Amino acid sequence: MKGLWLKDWLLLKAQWLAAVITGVLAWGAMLVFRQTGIVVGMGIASLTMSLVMLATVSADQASHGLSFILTLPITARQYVAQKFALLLAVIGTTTLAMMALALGYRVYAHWALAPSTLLGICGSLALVIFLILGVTLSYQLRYGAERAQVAMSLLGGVVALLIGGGIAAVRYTTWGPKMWARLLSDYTTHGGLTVVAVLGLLAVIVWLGGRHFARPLAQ
Amino acid sequence: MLNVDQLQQHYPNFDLNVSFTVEADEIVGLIGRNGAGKSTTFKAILNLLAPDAGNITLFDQPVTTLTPEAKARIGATFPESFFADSFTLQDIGRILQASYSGFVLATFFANCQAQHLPLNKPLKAFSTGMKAKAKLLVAMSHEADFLLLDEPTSGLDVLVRQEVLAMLQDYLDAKAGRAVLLSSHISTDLETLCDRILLLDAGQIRLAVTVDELQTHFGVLKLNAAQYAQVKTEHLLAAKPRAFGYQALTDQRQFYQENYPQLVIEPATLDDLLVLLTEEDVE
Repeated sequence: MKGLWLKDWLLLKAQWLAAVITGVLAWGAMLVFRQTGIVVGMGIASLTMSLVMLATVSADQASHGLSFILTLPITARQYVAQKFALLLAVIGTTTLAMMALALGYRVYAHWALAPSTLLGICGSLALVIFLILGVTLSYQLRYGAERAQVAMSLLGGVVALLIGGGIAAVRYTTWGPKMWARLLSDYTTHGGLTVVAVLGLLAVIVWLGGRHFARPLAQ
Repeated sequence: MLNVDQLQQHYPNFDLNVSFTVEADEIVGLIGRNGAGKSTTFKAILNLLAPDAGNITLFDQPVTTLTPEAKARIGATFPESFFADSFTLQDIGRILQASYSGFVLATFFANCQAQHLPLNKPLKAFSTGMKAKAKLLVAMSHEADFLLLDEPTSGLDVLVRQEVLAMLQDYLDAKAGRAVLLSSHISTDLETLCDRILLLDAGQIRLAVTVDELQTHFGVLKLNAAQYAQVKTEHLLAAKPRAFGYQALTDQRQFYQENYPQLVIEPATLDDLLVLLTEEDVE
């Protein structure tokens, strides 16, 4: 397993420029959009870094390379588990870095933003990104990069449909506004806790189900 | 060391069904045309695909349950599968050091330099021959007991092939108990290196023969139509019509030399086996 981590670290290290550009963009987002920039910056940073992480899978799979990698003293189960752990580590590290940046900015710019709210926003975004990329990662591990791109596009379509459907439900149905009002009420009462809990539950399902789905691996 | 028992894999136009063993201190060559089932067999041995039926054991354990410690005793090469092209041998050395307990970084680097392989250039800058040497050095770098080499000399010129074969021979001579299963399209490589040859055709092992047996007993007969009608065919393994009449393969060369001194009979090569046994049977 140590060898897998080192291999991926060497691949990620080569992408340092992406990390620098992402950091600058995230910082710029907060400078321009102020508090809203936290969401924008988090989105940019987590998504970019996670896509860079997915590139480590593509590098393994290029030219049937995975067949050779699986002859190393590891099992296919360990390989999949390490990739999911790497995804989590990349999203976690990026989220922490963004939170530290936002907290620093909060003090510097005297934002009236509670650290717990900031934590809720960043945590929710991190979980959403984990859900999207967890599904993509599972699909890529099983079917390869090309089909994973199609899956990611479909997933984006589903997300857009959900958002669009939600807006349409609020505007054109009787139950939509009630549900929205209830969601807002829950959010006001419990903060982002319910949202984080639901997303967390979904993340656990993707974590466990995705690792199972990803085998057998595309070679 | 390796026991492949009734390994079966079914595809729409192809059925693999093979059984064979590789013992310690033995070098076994797998020869066959493209699509004969060599790579499928190798992948099944490495547990890279789940066969439809059969049992494969390596180091007396089913390959499906090999622990990482047992897998560390295997070295493998594939013609088109290796580390990412962006890695240098320095990177690969560090990865191997983190993966194998029996790996010594300084020895690996020294071996690379002895083969004139640059340590700090990415693999994408390597020639075919350099890559082949790098793959073999990686397979041999961690004191593996069993080497599984799929086309290790593919695409190499004769000089590099000889160097690669010499590296492999040195590795085998260095320690008793090691075993190798390798495939190659280049029959002379297998004749030079192997103790035993398995000829695979359309998913079946058509012939298992030691190189000594091949060189001592096998022969190719060149016969005109009248001669072919007269000779006893019970010792002919295969015959193929040719412009001059027939070309036939026997595993009883001496029988034909003694009983038919007028015939043209030459010692058989692996190429002869491949051509005659994978085309059509004796009529």
